[in-house]
Amino acid sequence: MSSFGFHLAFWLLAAMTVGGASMIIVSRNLIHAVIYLVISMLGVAGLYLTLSADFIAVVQVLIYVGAISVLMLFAIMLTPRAERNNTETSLKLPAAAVMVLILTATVFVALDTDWGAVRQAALADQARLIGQSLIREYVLPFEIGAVLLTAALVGAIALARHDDEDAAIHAQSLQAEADGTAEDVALLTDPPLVEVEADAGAGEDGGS
Amino acid sequence: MDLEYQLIVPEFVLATLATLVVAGALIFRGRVRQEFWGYATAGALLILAILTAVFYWDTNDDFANVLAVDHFTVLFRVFFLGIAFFTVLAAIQFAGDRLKNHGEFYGLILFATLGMMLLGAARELLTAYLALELLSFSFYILVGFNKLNPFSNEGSLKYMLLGAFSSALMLYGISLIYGVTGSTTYSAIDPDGSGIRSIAGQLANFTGVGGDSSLPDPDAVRPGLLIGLILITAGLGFKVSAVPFHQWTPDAYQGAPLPITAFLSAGGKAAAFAFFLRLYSEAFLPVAAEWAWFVAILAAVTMITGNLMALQQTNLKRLMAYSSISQVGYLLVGIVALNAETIGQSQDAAAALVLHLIGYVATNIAVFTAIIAFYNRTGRDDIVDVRGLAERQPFLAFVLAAGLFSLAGMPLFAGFATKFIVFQVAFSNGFLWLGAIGVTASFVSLYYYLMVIKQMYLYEPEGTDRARFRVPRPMALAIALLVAGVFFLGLYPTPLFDVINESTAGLFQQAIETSASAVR
Repeated sequence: MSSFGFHLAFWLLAAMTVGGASMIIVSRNLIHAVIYLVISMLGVAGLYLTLSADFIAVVQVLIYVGAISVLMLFAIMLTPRAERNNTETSLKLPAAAVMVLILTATVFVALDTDWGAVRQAALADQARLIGQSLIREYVLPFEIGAVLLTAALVGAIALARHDDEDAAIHAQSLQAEADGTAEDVALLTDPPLVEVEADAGAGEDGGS
Repeated sequence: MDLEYQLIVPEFVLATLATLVVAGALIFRGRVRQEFWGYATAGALLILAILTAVFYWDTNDDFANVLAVDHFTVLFRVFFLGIAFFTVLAAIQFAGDRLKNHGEFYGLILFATLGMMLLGAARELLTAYLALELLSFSFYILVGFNKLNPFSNEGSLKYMLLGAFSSALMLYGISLIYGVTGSTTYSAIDPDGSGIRSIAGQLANFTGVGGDSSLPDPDAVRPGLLIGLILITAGLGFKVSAVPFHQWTPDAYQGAPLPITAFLSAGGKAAAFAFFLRLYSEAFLPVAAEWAWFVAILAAVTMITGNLMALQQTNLKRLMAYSSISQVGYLLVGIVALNAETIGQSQDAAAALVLHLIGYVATNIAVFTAIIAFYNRTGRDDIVDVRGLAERQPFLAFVLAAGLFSLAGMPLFAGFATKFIVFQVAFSNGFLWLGAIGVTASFVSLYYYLMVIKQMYLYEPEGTDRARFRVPRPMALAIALLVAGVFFLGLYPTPLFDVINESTAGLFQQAIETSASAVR
């Protein structure tokens, strides 16, 4: 494992990962940031390969590079006003100081700790081993994951479903947010729903 | 290996129930009254709690080394089911008046309860993490369930972003702990027989108690171990809203529909502390000296800041948010006190922590149910709005007063007895300064609780709506039960304390075995 090619691959992949991650922060355009994120995640997939974790590397490419980044791109494109660029902030220096501190601590921990407990030879047949442990020792976490996805899906539908009778209030609350009077809308939605609808209708009439 | 599915039947029943409620409310839409789903959920939770207590109390086993089914698990199973039962009872009228999608609402409450039960039982870090995420995801959605209210959206978004951040911190910490110990299992009760490497076993070797010379010496692993512990504590700090990780709490509490605020402050905290206690006593006890100091700082800062911030609140929900933050400080004292000279003292600390947790949760649900009943009538939740409540609804005023006195730690109420035991353990385990801060902070807290009580009892009702009003029968019954429990705990905590003592003893089984083998 100490061949020249291995070291070259490690440093190239590390540069790709860290470089991509830094460009995410530097770039002011959200779409560009997602592309840099893809580069960074590809670098991580490569690092998994150098660790002989081939199955994890493939999953990393399929899920993170493939699915999640595309999802992010869709989310950015479908959200109004989301493609606006990041603006300058006054917190640059403090943030940089904190980052340097965290970086120092991480490097210190990585170099100074004896990671003996996990220093083992690479496993062969990883996909099979992972599959077996998912239906044996780790069957319960696997099932919890399934329940978690169900709950998230049910909740996402409940939150995203569009009810016709809500449209008036929703438009009003968007308008109020634009006017900076969001508190009034909060008061308006506080009484029971039946009255809210009456109020919302009255508000529209008054407006027109 | 054999998978003993009969051990986790309550969890399966709960997951099925949640799915049935969601699907049933969709299938029978418009044909069944909305309240039916609330009462059906509450009834099923009550039956499940009773059956769990009856059938599982004597079990002491584990499921594939990822889930322990011991006294501690069963105690918390029943506790969480009870919390969910009272929350659903309190929510029925509120949801009928102000929320839509009742099936999803009750279904998500059940999913969150499932997450809590798994979290309290998990003895493997990945399982615990997934259970925590199940709990958190359900809460993110429930906090934003009133989707037309901008405060609800804001609270949900803040909670979700900080929650995701804290999960990342915790995962990083878990990876470091795995790197140091090579295991994610908390402890193996029979280290020799099962042949499973466990965190507690490895850490005991580092401190020289177990004496396995094949391991690296303690100094070489200290940085990774320390940072891992700090990161896990920080992630947990976010989940239990300890200062300085508390910023989401007031916004989420204020924005969430009131029953969810109650559920979040009771169930969310209880589950996170069940996890906290099991992890820090079962897995991290051998290195208690490494983490006790920063958990102690966290506890002190939380008690001080939570109480000082509560002094300036004008909204009841935000007041209760800061009040719950300060209560987290007292609970953290119990975690710190795990770092004791003998295992018996650690065990006392664990029992005191669970007792205070149960007292706090019972009181908090009683207070919140009273606030919900008040809000159902008036639609207002500022402190000045309860002005003259003693005239309009003497029962609610009495309940609120009793609950707030209990939270402040007045004698007669649960808050006094349980807090007294926590501070006593802190004193006897050598954390004098922390106990002193706690006692002082309790005195400060009396001020803001009394402000609310003053509004209710010393002033006449104001505004257009001054009439007396009735509290619906099921809600009044639930409140009466909880307040009776608060008084009972305050006057005679011994029976519950014995049960808790028995259930927390299991957490220290490996620690006792290890020290016994070291003596040999």
